[in-house]
Amino acid sequence: MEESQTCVEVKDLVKTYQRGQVRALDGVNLSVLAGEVFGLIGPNGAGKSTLIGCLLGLLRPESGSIRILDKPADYLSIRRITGYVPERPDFEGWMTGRLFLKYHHMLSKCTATTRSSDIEESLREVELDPSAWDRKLGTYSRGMLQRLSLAQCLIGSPKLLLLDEPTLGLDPTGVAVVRRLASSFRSKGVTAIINSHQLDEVERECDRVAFMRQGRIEQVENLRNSPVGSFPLFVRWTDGETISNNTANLAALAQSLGISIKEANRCWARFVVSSGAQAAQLIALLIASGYPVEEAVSERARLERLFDKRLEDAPHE
Amino acid sequence: MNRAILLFTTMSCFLDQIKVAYVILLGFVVPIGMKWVSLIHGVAESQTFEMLTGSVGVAFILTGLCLGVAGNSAVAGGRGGECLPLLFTRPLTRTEYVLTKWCAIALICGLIAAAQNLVVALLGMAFGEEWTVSLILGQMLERFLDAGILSAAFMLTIFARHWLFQTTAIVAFYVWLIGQTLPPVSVAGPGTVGGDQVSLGATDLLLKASQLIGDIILPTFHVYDAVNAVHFPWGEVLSYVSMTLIYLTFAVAVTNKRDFFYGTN
Repeated sequence: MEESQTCVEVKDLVKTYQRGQVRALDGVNLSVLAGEVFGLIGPNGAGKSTLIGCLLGLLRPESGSIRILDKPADYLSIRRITGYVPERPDFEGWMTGRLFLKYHHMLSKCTATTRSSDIEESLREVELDPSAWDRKLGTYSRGMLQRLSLAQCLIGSPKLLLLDEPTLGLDPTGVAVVRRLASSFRSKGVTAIINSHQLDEVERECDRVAFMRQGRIEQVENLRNSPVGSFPLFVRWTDGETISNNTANLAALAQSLGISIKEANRCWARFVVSSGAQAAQLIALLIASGYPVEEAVSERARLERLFDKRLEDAPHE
Repeated sequence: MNRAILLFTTMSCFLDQIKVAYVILLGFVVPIGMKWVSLIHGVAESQTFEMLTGSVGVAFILTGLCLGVAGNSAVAGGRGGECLPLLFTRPLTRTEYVLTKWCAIALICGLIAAAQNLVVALLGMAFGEEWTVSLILGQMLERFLDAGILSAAFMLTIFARHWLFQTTAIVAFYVWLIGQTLPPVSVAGPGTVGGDQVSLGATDLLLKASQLIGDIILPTFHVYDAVNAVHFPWGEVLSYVSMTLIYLTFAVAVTNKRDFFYGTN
């Protein structure tokens, strides 16, 4: 699958509820490229889940069109290559984890010869404790159900994944699993659309993100582009004792690249850099100068800023 | 016919503890217990017993089996049962789902009701009652047919959530229930006059009306009577088949038309 190929194409999509009184989607236009990890953010009631419902062919839009790999969304051939993580993992309590995946494997019309290995592979992918595989779902915690939900979406090696709040109810290790899965989607060329309120997660995992409000896409932000304007870069290094505690030395290093220091300590400093390239230059210089850099984190929080800005710009209703 | 839906519906009927408890209690413990007691004490079977071992008994068993089918009362969210939005993202048509579900539920319910009838017959035979093989087989087959039409009607009421249809369906079910359970003996009485006559006349009218409505909405095909009749009752067959097809067609149409998602309404 080529990078530039369009996977999802939405045009002028309108979906209403309560006999037209509530416009959940009000002329949505969206294009998601194949192999892209795409985020949907926005306040509650913005229409994000409704958009996912329409993409899955579960909700019938009033007007507009959806094409997935150039076919209508509710074609069986499209469903065969689509995976979905529902917002609420309310599954039948009498089933075991393994049985639940068997059910979805059968429904996906995957070959029976690889069923057992496919199921175990999915369960391992989401790091669900093997002792829980044959336990009834009624005894699962919220986080375990969420992991199982992630495992079922991997069944059938989908080409398109629609994830509705995938980190909801997960513990930090579960969140790390989602992060790892998102990165593996990219490397396998799987297209993923993630609806989430966890802005930091969306920022880490997505290539592009759409901000939705009142049933419309108001802005699409490319997170892989360098940010415009300066941003803080937090750098931490180990073994502070062996490095001369010389803030002036650190300032001189930064100055040589035209970078200013916001604050500094024996083991860390917060710089103000103007681009991603400048941040990389600084880190390289610090390492070359004997700073054993342990961590460097951009504190851009672009989505948080975008989110706040869009809400500030919104007319007061 | 979808094999996965067929297999997992069957498994849910036999592995879901709530369903199993409900079916055992209403399908076996109560009616067979009543039969046992009546045989021990040599008394005639009651109207309640007739109810629990006939088409009304099938309806009771179906209610238990349909717990959680399509999320039952919360179809939109799929909560408390099958997660329908998730199932419908799989390569499965909604028509395939409805028809497979109907087939599975009807067969399982028919099987349970037929087994119940068989136990009742064997118990009766042990206490000296006269049962013929054709009578037992006829009754068992009748239970499968009852399960067929009733489960089609159930599928429609589960999926069609419009308040007007729901109200009509509940009223129709009670009218049918009255027609199946009111004892006909209460309307006899040639010597009655005045207020009693009006009362009996009203009861008679209610009974006849409910039986007529019941025959229209949930017609029964009496297998044993049909086999032994001089002229085969084609009318009964036609009305049974046509009503079952109507329920299934509407269930499929409604399921294909409506939205299935997480409480977005």
